[in-house]
Amino acid sequence: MMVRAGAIAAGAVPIAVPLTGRRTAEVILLSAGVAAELLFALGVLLARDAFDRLHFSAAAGVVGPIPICAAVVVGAGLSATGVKALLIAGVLLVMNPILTHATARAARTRRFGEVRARRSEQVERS
Amino acid sequence: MNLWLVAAAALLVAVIPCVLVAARGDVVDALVGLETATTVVTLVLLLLSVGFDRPPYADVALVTVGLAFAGGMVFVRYLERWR
Repeated sequence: MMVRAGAIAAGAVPIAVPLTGRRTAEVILLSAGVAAELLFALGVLLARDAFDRLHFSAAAGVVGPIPICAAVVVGAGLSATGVKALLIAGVLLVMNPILTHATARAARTRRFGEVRARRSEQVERS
Repeated sequence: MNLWLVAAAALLVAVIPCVLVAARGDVVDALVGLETATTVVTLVLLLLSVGFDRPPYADVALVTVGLAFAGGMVFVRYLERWR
């Protein structure tokens, strides 16, 4: 069987390969990332309202991608794929909180008519 | 089938709850479902690129993550105005 150059570095090897340290790290990071994403997606489904769902959605955009992109970097090194994985993780880390915040503002404006807390709401003030 | 493709397939399952939320909930719930689904799909595209050993395909994931943010912000803008 012919194996293309760079195939192993990119991680394109069958599952039944002896576990090296790098391979073990890939498996652990990938499993953690996939499990986190599945858990947060389930949280989005089971949460009570949009504000609760947003907590899980925000976590899915930060907690899951970090180990998955780290696994890609461990597997592919700082090749084109590895750098793109880092870029994707960076963009998600920066943009996802902004989008979550904007969505929460829009949801609050739709429900209460304004973003600011009303007098009847108990809000912790500094 | 290698480890990356298995992970991509498992990760794709996470899209199902997002689709259910988008289909059943109101418009804000649907937007939250969409945002979660785009994050998951971005990661699936990245894993597929590594799994098939095609580095240029990772560009698709990179473009998706940018467009997901822009698209989400457009939806949010209209959601805030339209009641």
